Amino acid sequence: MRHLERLAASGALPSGRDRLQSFLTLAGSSPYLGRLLVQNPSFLDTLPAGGSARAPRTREDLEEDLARFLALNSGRDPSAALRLFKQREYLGIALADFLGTADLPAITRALSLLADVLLDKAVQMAWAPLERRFGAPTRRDDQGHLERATFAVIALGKLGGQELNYSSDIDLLYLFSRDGETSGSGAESGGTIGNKEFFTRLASDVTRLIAGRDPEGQVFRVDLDLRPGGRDGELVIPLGAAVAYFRNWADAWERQALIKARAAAGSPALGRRFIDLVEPLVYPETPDPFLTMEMTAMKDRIDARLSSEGRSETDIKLGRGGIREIEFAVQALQMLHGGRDPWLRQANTLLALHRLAEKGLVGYAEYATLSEAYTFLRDLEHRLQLGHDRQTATLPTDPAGLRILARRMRLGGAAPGDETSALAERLERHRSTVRAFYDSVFGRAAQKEITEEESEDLWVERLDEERTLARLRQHGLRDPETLLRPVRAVRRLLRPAATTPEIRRLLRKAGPILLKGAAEAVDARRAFDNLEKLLSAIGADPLGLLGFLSRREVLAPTMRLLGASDFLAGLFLRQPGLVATLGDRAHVLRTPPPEEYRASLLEAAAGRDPARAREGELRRRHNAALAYIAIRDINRQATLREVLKSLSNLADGTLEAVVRLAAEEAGADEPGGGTGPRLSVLGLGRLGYREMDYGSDLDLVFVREGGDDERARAFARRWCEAIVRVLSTLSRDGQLYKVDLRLRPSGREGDLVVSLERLRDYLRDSAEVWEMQSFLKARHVAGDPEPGARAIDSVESIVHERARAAGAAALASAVTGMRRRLLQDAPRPERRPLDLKAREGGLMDVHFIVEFLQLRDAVPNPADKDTLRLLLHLNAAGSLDEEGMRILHEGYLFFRALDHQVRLIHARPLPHPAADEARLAELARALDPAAPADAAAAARGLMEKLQDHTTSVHRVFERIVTG
Amino acid sequence: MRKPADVLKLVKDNDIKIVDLRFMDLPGLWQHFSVPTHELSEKSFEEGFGFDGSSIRGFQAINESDMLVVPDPEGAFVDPFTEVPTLNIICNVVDPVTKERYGRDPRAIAQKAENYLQYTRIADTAYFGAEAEFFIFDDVRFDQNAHCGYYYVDSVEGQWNSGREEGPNLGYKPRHKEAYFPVPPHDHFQDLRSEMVLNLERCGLTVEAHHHEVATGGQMEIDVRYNSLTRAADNVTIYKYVVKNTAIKRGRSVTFMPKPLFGDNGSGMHCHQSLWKGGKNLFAGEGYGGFSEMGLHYIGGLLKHSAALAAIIAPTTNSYKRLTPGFEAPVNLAYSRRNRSAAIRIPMISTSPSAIRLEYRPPDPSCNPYLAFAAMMMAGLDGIENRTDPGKPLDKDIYGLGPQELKNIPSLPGSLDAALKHLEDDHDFLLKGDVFTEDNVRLWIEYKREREVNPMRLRPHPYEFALYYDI
Repeated sequence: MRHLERLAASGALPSGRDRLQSFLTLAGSSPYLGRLLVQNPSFLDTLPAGGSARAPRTREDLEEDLARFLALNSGRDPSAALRLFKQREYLGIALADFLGTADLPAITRALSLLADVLLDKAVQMAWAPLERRFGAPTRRDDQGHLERATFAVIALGKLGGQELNYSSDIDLLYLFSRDGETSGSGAESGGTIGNKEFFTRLASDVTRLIAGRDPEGQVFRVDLDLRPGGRDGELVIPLGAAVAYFRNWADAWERQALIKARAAAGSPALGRRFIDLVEPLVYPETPDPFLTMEMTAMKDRIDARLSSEGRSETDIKLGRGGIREIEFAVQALQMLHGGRDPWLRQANTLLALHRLAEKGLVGYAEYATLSEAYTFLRDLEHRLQLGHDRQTATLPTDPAGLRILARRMRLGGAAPGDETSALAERLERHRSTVRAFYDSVFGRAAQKEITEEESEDLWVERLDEERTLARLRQHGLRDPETLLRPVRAVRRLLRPAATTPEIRRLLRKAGPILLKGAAEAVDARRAFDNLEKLLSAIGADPLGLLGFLSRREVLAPTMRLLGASDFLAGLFLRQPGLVATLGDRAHVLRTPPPEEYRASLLEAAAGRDPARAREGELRRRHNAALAYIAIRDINRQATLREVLKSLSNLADGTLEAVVRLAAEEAGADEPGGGTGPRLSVLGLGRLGYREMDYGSDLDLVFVREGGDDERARAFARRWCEAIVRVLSTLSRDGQLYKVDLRLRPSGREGDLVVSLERLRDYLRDSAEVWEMQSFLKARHVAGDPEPGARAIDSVESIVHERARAAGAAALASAVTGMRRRLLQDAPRPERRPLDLKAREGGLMDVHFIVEFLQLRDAVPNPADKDTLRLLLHLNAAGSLDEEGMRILHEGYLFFRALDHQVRLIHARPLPHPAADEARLAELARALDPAAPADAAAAARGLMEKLQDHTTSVHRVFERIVTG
Repeated sequence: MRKPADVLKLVKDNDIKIVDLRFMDLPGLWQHFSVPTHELSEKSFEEGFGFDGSSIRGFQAINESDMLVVPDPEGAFVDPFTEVPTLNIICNVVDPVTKERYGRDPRAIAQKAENYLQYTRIADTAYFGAEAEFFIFDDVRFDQNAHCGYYYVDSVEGQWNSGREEGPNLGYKPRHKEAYFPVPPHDHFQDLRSEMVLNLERCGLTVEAHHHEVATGGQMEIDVRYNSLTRAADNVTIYKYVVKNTAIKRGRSVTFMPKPLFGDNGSGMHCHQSLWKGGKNLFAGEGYGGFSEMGLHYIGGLLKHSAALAAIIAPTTNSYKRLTPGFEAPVNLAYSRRNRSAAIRIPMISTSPSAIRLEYRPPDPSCNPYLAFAAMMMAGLDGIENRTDPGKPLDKDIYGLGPQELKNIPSLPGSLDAALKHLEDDHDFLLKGDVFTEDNVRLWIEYKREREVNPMRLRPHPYEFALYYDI
């Protein structure tokens, strides 16, 4: 009645009986809705007369309505306009609810649809200005064609299941199709940015529109915690990386959450694709034997927390017999049977329950009582929340509060005057139904586990060959015969430790997880082989084994990683401590910004410890950073380009740290030392292009400015000698980098450090064409940036000047001559079938074409130069025709990707006999998940593709350079 | 660890006048030059001493000849032979500009191999014990030109001298293959070997035994205690230097040439090897001969790569006159506990875990020990990494095997040329961790072909006259 008074006071008393009736219903049931109406009396006009049920609104209808509403409210802040629309629609839905003209599923569907439409609108609203500024986000597909990148909002949780409450959070996950960059041709050109940046901006704008608060509230509370990496994960993630995350990293509960995944807004095609790709992960063909165990464990944690807070009885959502228990039990049954029966894959709880009944997994009588219980509990939750638009599932404890709640549940009629006890009675009945269902689902499973646990242990007991094979097979490992040797070796390593009961207990728990991880690995044999090496590396330290086994959450990912990459396994076994850090997934998954490598490495290089100790720390941090990059790489969390950029950033940071460490060693603190030369380290080759890969050399040239007296020169020399020494020493912790200094002026015979003037003179007077080619890639990498920038500027202009003077014909003959020499020296392709560098039509040819064109046509470097960018750049500048660009682009990407996978998987070049069918097939599949399953066909396909690319690239070389 | 200051103290205490700087060329001959003591200071151990590397076999091209040697304090010892008190120091070769280790310095390769071993975390130390055999001759002459060619060696204890008028000939010249090892007067060189041993110990080596060897004409062996890879190679180098010079002082000449005598045993350099980690012998286990699985894989790696290794561990054309099938030479690529004719023998002298090791028998003392030890260890590591199965042990005497069974046992290549071809085809195991580089391998093969194999081809052999003159 207070609301009615206020409404009257404002002179907007509802005219007409129907409206007054509606107003009273709404305000009487929910103070929150009452207040809304007081603030926006005009909303009453939109309510259906008499609150009579309308046909459910269609999506189109709602979208149109929203468009009209926004047009009328164009003066308002967009976020506020969306909020107002939501509030207006809520009134209609709530009215139907209170009048009983719509049932629970209809209400929640209506609320969910409304959320979808608002989200979709928010995406459109946020997209337009970004595209005006940066152009449309695009990517080049493998054929070099441009396509538009898309964005999708995936709903999880209640919105995903279309069972949204009035006050529910909406659980979202933002995706974009693939990495690339924007066209940069927007109306208010803000230049080109990476797709990731574009979509990160888009996602945060969408979030701001939906979840941004003003004093009147917000559209929805948005919860993004279910995204890959959780709270610390990146806001928006490419499709491939998201799928890889759920495959490789996600905990069981995160995969479970995907049951409710639904494409809610943005590109429906992209959303659908995501759902299709993750479905096999949620519903594996053979269900995860630990599924129910993990779910029970989680529920037990929830129970423990609630009871410590004294809410076990009052929380109808999380407490015993509450909503969560039905959901868990339904989802457990879905996940156990959905692999074989796609019909069970259903996001909505009630529908899923119905389908379980159809399939005979739940009795029909049980279904009837369960769905009644679920509806009742959700209803009750709605009423609790509508009280004040607050997210709560806790029953009030005071009698008055309970009475109001019971009245809102319309239980008054059922038991006049005694609503409270009727509510309590009904609640108890439903809860016990739920509890019995939950226990029956999880009890059965739990029983099975106990027998499993008591049986002989693979790692502790001496099992004979027969039983070992059976056990391996049981865990889904194919070809267990090939695993016998490494499994026995691992057992031999573990057995001496397994004499203590503590380790035995740990082993019983950890053992099955190791097997599970191996079964999921790309190559189980490699996983066990590397596990053996890792354990024997850890073995030296008895506490290490305890530490390794007790981190159960990292065991399965570790096995998958060990099965995927010898390179990474090498890092792990040199630094077993890294394995423990895998538990911190957020840290592992995040791509750190370049400054972070720098900061961490510089910190290692500074300090008071002896220089040797700091060098050790620097190597360890470098190793750790490498390991994280490799992990993201293996899990497809990062594209090849991102991986190479990360490795280059790491190299930059390392160099800077080494430059400082070395200055100290060379005696910068000694009198006269520090005031001398300014030093810039130039990176050429792959470092110059920021295309560093695992195991790439550093091509360095040291340039100094000033400090021309003998003493300062000697200091500069010592400084650079120390840089080279720290970088290239092979210690127990490995080698930071191999350093190649042959590109310095005069090559081997030249001074280690050259003055800026000498560098200029050399390039002007003596450098040969191949040296000019190399210096086109030069970039200041570490040291003093000012002389570095001056060096790069003058290098580029001198090189172009000289190229102009030489003329196209002379350039072409020098380039072809040098290429011929290098090809002669290169290993024969039959001996190294996967060495892509110096072979006809290989990587070197792509580079030579690029460099030749750059020199011939005096095309300046673009900012942030790399091979792909230069190809586009040369094409835009008219030096390289479209077809040539396409062939080189395609070829280059293929070569790089193949070379990269060899480095990642095998850690070293594969010589001829080792490049057998199985290994080639594995590479083929690493490059293209759609490669044929048959090893021979996949291997042949790969080699044919390689042949095609080299032939095409060679042809382009002939056409452009040889002429 | 010895520090530069300790070396300077050594100089002072021994009243040293001359410092002799030593390093190894590619084929394995020790090189040196000297500086007066006042040139040596603590700084020398960082800045080194310059020399012209262009004339050193297997080093720089003429146009890039300046090199540095940097003394390694660990490698300093007082020379037992010079009249002027002289300190010898083993040096590392370094690029004068970048101060990087010179990639063609054999000692650098050995050190890289040790670093690589630690880097793999498989083990922290590789122990090598080498038993280099040699002959002591009284006289050696050889010549070859367009119209004649011959060699002539002689020894007071040569069987062939039993009828020589020695005025008087006192006899006691051991029969062929029977010189292992009757007491004097059969053994003419007890005192000389003892003197060699004392000199070796003065140079810091620990000697375990010395004795006469099988061949007549003065074949000897002195056993030096095993050591870690680079140090063991240093010791082989010092050993050859001391043995040769002790003999010269006594008017005799020592050769480490693998096969100087026709009709008797050649000189090998059996290499005992084991890997250790944290003070534990990783080769000790419960498998065959008390070997661990890792030890057997190491054997597997050695056997698998033996054909290629041959070009480094038996790297002369003369080596293959020793490694001839059917003449008790360890050419059959198998392993055995008792059988001394297999390429790998597992000594049964002690069963204590710390004594478990393998003895690889094909190497001979004509090899460059730095390269040979590094290459053998890399082959073994490759076996460990790839879990190379060594096959079944061979406990039957190979010579007793019928030709049928023997056919299945691979054997070493029959010539240096064939071995080089194998090395050309199989050297990826050496390149791991950049221990050897493609440049090293290519240079080695080129050097051996151009400087040894091809010149041999051009020359008629005396026995060819016996065979063919009358054709």
